[in-house]
Amino acid sequence: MTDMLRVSDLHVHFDTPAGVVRANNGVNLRVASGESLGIMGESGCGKTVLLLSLLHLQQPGRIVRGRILLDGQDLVPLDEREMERIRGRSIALVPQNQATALNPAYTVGQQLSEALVIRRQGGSLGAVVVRRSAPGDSDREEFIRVFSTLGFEAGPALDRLLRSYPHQLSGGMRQRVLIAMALLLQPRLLIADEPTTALDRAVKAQTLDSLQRLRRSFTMMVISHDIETISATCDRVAIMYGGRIIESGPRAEVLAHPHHPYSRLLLRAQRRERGEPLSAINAETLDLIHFPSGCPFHTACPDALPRCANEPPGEYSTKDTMVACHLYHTEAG
Amino acid sequence: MFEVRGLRRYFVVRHNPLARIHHPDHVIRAVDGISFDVAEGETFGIIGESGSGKTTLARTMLRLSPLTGGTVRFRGRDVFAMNGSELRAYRRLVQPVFQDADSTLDPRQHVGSILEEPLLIHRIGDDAERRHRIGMTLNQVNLSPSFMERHPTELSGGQRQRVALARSLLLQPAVLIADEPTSGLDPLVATQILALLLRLKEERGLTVLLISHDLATVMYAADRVAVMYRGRIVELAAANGFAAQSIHPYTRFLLGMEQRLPDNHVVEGVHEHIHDDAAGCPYVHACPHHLHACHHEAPPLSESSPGHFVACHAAQ
Repeated sequence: MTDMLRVSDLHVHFDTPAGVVRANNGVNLRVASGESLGIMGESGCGKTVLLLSLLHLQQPGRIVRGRILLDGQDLVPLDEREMERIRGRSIALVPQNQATALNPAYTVGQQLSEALVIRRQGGSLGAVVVRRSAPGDSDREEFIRVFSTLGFEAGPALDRLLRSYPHQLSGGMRQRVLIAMALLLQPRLLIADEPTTALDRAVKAQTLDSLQRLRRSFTMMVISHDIETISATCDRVAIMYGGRIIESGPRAEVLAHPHHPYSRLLLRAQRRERGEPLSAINAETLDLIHFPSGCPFHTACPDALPRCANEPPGEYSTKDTMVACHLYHTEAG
Repeated sequence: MFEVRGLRRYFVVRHNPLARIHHPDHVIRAVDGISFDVAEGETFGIIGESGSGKTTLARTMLRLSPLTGGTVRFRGRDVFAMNGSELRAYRRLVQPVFQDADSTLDPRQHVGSILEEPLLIHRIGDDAERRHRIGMTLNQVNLSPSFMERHPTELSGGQRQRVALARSLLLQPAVLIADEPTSGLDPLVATQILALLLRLKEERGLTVLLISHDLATVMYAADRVAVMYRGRIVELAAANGFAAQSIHPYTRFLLGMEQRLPDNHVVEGVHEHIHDDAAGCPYVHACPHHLHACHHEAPPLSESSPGHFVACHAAQ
């Protein structure tokens, strides 16, 4: 398998009155063609900044260093006009908050048509004037095709959906519309940012079902901190902390036998076994301005070695997995 | 400690006169005949999805919302018949912990004055004593007293939720009604807050009503669990062994043990919650086991084995 996306040594900084926030601090990752990569991490670990940077939407943040290779082409030096061709058509993002991502003043059909206009004529979402007429037959055929890949069959229900305004839809239905909109652009890489956060059980099941169907035919990145979502939709998992990928590997391996002390903690914290104590730490969220020297996790790490305080760990790989932790230095080299 | 009987809370949705020609006024039965008891010192868990009526239930028990029918008794006294000093005592003894600490903490006050407010309202202590008490309570939620000088916007989500928890604890309540205390927090922080809540419960011998859509959390922390669906309790049982002994198809769907019928209706909103004509079971539209009777008659919540209640025709 060839790599579709390869990010190396990506640094993204934000200038704030309080100092420079180092939101991404040397991210390395690969997404192979056809695979689905999950990214897990707590709020503030830099996962959203990472994927916004792929699309040059990280402003006011600055990409300070690093490369983002999409099919071998480096996206970092591209200007706005060149990025317009990448956004949506090469990399499509399904945004985090389905409640606010759609325009409340236009019907679903009109907004989906906009995606088709952009695919055919160029431009970016929101910039093209939305057609007020009902979608034509060829558009309708595309809608039918896309919704059927999401498990929603053509019929009166679909017609009703296209005529509806976003506020009339359930959260799950809005989520499907956003995914459909991304698919209509026929992207090479589909990114879903927290697709199941704040959804209740029934809607979450529906969304996971849609994503599972896509997994067979798309290259995807799924950002989530929910183990169930990651298990259902990903082949490989990367765990992020302090603006770096600190562990990555095959999904089953990482979820069942995490190596990095932080990964273990992150996964254990979600476990709720009656009679067993909760695994809670009282560490505060990492301060990304006054970045600690050495490993960013060393102050809260139960297994920290003396050198963790001074020396940032390198990335140590065994056959499929990578761990950025001094504990694995001697074993793997 | 609590005795809830046949609790109902309906909302009437009125349309303007023109729209009324096509859409008659209708009633949303947010809470539709709920009965349960909560024992002293117990953690009683309530699970339900958004729209199931769990927040309305909490608000009604706090007497923040009137009721349509039924009774709520606290230590034998009818909560809705209380007034004067008795009601003030109830408001002190039964404290809410709300879901969204961002919107329940006044952004223009610093934490010290936010926390002083309940003490002022209940006329407790003088300046020095109040300060002392606030400092101690902050310590108990793992925040240093220096947080008194900060504003809510300067705090992380987990810190804000701990301030909210401190505010609920200041009046030394007997009961906490915690509505989604950990939702919207990331998993590490959610676990921290849950661990803190359980520790405080132990230390102070609190009774806790834990309301959440997160099944794993409720099954972990509660002594007994009630599952709500569209305003009704469909199953109630001990949390220990809850999953293995669950009977109701909706509970089993939540647990991932069973599917529900596919649901492709598009337009949601209030329509989802109307069951004016619903003489039947609220879950009948999605239930893979529905029987003829399910369409016509709501199944009563009945005891299937000691302490285990379920409202399902197919289970009987």
